[in-house]
Amino acid sequence: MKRNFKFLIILLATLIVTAGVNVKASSGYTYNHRGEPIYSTTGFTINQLPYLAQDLGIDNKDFRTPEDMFIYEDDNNQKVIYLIDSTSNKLFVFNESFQLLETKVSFHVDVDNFTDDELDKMKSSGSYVIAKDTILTIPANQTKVNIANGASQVIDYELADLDFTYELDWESNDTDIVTLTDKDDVLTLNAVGVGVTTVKGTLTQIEEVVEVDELGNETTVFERTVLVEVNIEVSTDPEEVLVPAAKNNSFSINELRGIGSFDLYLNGVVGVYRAKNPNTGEDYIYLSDKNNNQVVILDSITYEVVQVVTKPTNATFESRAFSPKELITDGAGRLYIIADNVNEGIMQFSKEGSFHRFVGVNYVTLSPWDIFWRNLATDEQLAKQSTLINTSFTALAVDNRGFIYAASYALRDDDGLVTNDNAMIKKLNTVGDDGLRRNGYQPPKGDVVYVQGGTETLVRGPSKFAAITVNDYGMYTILDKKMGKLFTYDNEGRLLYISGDAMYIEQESGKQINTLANPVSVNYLNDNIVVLDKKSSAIIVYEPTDIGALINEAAKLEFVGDKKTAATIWERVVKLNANYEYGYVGIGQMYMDERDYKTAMFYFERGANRDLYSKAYKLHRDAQIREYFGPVAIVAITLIGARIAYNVFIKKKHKIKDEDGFGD
Amino acid sequence: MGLVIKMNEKLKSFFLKAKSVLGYIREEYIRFPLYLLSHPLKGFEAFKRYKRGKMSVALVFMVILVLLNILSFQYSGFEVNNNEIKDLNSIAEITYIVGVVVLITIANWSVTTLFDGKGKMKDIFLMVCYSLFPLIWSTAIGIILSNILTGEELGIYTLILSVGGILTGYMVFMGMVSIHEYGLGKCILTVLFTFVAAAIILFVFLLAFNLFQTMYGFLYTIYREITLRNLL
Repeated sequence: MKRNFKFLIILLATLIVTAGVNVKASSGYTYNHRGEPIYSTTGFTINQLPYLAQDLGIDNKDFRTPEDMFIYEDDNNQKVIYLIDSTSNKLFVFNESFQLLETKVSFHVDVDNFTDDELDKMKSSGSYVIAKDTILTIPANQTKVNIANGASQVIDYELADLDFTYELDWESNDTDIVTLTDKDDVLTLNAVGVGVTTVKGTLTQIEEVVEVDELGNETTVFERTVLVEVNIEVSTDPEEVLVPAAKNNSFSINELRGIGSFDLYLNGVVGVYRAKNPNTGEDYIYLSDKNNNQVVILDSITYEVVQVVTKPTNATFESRAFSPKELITDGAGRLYIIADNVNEGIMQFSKEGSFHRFVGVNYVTLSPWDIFWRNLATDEQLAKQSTLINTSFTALAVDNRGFIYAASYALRDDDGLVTNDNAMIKKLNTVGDDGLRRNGYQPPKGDVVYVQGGTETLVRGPSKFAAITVNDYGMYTILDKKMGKLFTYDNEGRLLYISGDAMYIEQESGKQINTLANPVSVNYLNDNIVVLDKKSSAIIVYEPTDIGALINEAAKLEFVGDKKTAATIWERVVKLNANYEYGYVGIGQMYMDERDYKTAMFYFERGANRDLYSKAYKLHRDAQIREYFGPVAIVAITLIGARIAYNVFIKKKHKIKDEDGFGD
Repeated sequence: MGLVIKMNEKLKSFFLKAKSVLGYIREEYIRFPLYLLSHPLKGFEAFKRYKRGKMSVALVFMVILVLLNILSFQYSGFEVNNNEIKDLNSIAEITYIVGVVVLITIANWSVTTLFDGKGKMKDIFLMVCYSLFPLIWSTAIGIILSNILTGEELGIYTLILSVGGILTGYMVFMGMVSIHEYGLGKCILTVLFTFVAAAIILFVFLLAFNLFQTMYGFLYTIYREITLRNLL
């Protein structure tokens, strides 16, 4: 027996090696109708090596911090894949099979298409295109800054990755001319004289650090230790220094009009989106150029800049920087943007780029008890309590009918405890109302069971959604970056399956490409799911498992209304996984249509669907009553008649006998 | 012929016996509790003064309610029944009923002895058990109805269950008034204090339980230590 077992293992091992099949774990879990985790098969699994920079034909250093990916389907059903990186600030364009079509570093701007005001607000590579008097911001990847006499210059070393610290190796003999202060991660240069300073940053070390924010959430970030070299050239003649520097960075408006065009460079690009306006036929690419504080809109064919959306002139934004992250458009060409530090909701912009309003607002609700305590608390106590903020959104997607799917974090109270995790996913219409169907056993919220306390900080708290994608059949997949899981729901809001557990071992190196470490983007590519992982800088393609493909097919058929065919597929699904409860509901619906209510009841009970069970039972009961009412009524009438007859004829006669009898 | 007569006699005496037993059951298990429900003050007066309350009936009521609770766990209709049969714990079901009855009895007794209550511990216990009568009927009817009604009609089911619960509470309250010979205000006060006393009893009980657990753990550790060191 033992020998056989060994033999079996060897056979299996050879099979794996020879077939080049990689080890994949396909067992996962799901939640049953009682919200308990149960074993289940995953819906998606990895069957091929992930795409790394070399597989994509990109230089490694251009693909260190990929931030977003978008798959666009054009009118001829051709798929185009857009990929952006926040460090190299490049836009990569691939075809469906991940062959690099184009790499764009800069985008041509025709000055004549823009007004003076628009040009004035436009930024390229971190600095304004039009020279400003004293305020000049410098991005990390730019090496020169010019300092006017007496001006104070703040160099904000925020790369696209917000978690960025640096060490300053600084020496200067002549502190009178330039002083450098290093406070709160912001490097401030104070110049007294006139000069050109070269600031050069070199990345020396990357280390993983666990950070705790004020809510007690812990996130793993990468701290970069950067050595900054600062060289100062001092000149006594202001003209000599300032003029060439100005030419390097920015122009005066007249200069720019004279040149006629320039190239716009991105700075910390974190979002990409493409859409064709069905009404006007305008086919644009949208880039959220975060550190440039603008959204750049490109023509999808020529890659020329057609529009730049900058910070709204609304009073709400006066003291805040405009840092767009996720963006989509609706059918009318309106722009929806999620930005940093904006907790009011999703920002809606008109087609022309002016701010309209916030949509999909997540309100924090206070319980009467909270309000009572807040009334009693002194101002000092209130100040000590962490401020209640409305949860900000984290991801956006739009379906083919123009509904916006938005994901956000769960609402929390003062103590960081989750107060409401049922509205983390929303389906917004153009008015901004939530129309998401929540007909599953639990509303869509990723993991149903989670711990709120404890020492296992990595698994604490509800799911954190990093991205969301929706296909043409109302199925949507949300990406949980906390556990590296993909949750797929159907149009009714039923949790179809949970995937993302698949592990992949590379053949040659034995390197394990693990579960999703810091996934940032998810997209449907035909039947597959494509996930972009920032930590491993890889594009991971998930293919449906056998059961996943069947479930997808059944959900698609139910979406189009073909319940009968769907039921035959659900029957195959429950054959593969007898614990797949939604399958029984699908089968039950077929029997319901066939008016076999008794069988339908049986399946609805297994699928734990009380509404449908009740409907089936009502119909079943009505049928029973119709069938048996006649006989039962005849028997009843006969019995009552017999009783009356007994009373009238027999009881009278034998009244004395009845006294000691056993009648009542 | 004699045999037939003998048989007839026997049968007759059996039926007579059966009739008297049935009559007893009807009187003690249905009519008297119903009388208590409809005339609580008079009823509980008779209950206490003329010893109409019987321990056997009280215990049977408790047992019936436990059985009905277990039955309703398994046999309530699917529309109201979210239980999985693997979760059924009959010990826990027994504790829920017996424990609560005993707890109320003890808590109420300990409060009313301080508040000049006239009821004895036995009276209180019998009174609480007799008060389970509406709950028993509503649970029984509920089990049947939950299998007949559809989802939209479940209001009736909830109504019957809550009426049963409310009537039980009413009987306990009126029983207290009558047994302890209290006024209304004083009775409400004792009810409140009964809850407090119950909470204290539970607290002490849990404390003791915890203490015993710790003690047990300590002794077990010593035992393990000794056996592992081969000292024995």
